[in-house]
Amino acid sequence: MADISVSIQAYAKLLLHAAKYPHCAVNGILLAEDSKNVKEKKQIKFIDSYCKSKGYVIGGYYQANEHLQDNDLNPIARHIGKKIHDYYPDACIFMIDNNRVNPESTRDVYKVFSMKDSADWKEVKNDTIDEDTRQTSAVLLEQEQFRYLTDFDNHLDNVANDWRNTQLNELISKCS
Amino acid sequence: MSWEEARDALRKMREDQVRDGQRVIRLWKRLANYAHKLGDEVWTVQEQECVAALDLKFPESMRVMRLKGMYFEAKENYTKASEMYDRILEGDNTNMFATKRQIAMLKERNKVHEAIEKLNKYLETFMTDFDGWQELCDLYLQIQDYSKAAFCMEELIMSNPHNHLYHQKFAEGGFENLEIARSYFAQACKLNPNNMRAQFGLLLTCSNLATGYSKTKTSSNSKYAVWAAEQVMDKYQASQSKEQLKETKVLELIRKMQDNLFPQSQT
Repeated sequence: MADISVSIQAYAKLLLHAAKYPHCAVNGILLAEDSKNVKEKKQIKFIDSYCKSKGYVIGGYYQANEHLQDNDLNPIARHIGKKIHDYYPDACIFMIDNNRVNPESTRDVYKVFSMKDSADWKEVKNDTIDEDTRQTSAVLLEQEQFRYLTDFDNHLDNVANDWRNTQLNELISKCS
Repeated sequence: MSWEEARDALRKMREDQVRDGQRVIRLWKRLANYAHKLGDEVWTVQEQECVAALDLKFPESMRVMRLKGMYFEAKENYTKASEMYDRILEGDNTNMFATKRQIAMLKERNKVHEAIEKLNKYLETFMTDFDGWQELCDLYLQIQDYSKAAFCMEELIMSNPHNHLYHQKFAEGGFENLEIARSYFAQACKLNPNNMRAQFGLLLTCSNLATGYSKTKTSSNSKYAVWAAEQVMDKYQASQSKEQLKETKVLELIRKMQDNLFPQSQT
């Protein structure tokens, strides 16, 4: 299958999100540019209008389990991944390995699973990021920039909090 | 005795697990001015010295045993930590902290079923420990036993009927019965109109009920959904800038959901 590549914007925020909550499970969505016609979707309502206006589709779902040593694809990830896959067949699951959420890690922080060419989730063993992305993300993690990351839960606590993270995105662009 | 000899003696005491608080303090006094020469080992030596000092100052103290237990837990020495907590419970079998740490250790080792069993036993005695019920609910959710998780939330709601967060959390687990979820979201909204999770929950459950299979309750569910939609839109308009509203398209999304509720109404 075609190589998967993850932008620095996506990778950095995913890593920071996992680091922000060391005591909790964490999950989120990765968006991708749409190369095909957009279909009518019912799931993931909230970002639906935003995605359509920007020409994005859901490219992936990431999850970090609560327990440090529990890094396997669990039923929750499979369930949500399947729902997304029904509408976006190219979407992958990115299971975060909690042991790699540190600035010294030399490998991708997640394992990628795809259902594109099979009936079950199979691991895709390609590298998805370049060295520049890895290094920049490591620096942002060391600087504890996750304190400035706004996730959807922060947004629901106070709707003025912007889940688009425009300021963090600018910082990531400046650092890379 | 040189500082190197003091360092080596402390190392040997750690390796042999010798408990001799007095000696540790004496050796530390020789080493203190040379701490900068120890590198990373200085942290281990300081821990050793701290535990010894506590031992001497507060022998057989429950608080010191508790701290030691946590120290062993952090080092993943669960056997020694468990011994500490067992000792505390021998002295005082109503010590909530020691029991909770034992449950936490089971969680740390990913032994969810054992943790649930122990927590259930704990709550038989300490049934007013609300944090305990919350924790048990989360453990049941982890193993996807939603009915038992619901039972835990019911216990919490019965003891705290005015807490909007408990109503909201109970509703979020109720995807099998949308009408029950709707009532709990509604109660949460009534208790705290600023609870956005409850407002969205109410909007989504009522929309699903209105457009679902049961046509008899369509018009009332549509009305509730429209009300919830208006609350949400008001909140967004009051909190977000025009630029944010325009970019995130949240108002368009909510209006689209409202239009779906009344497909026949054309003006």
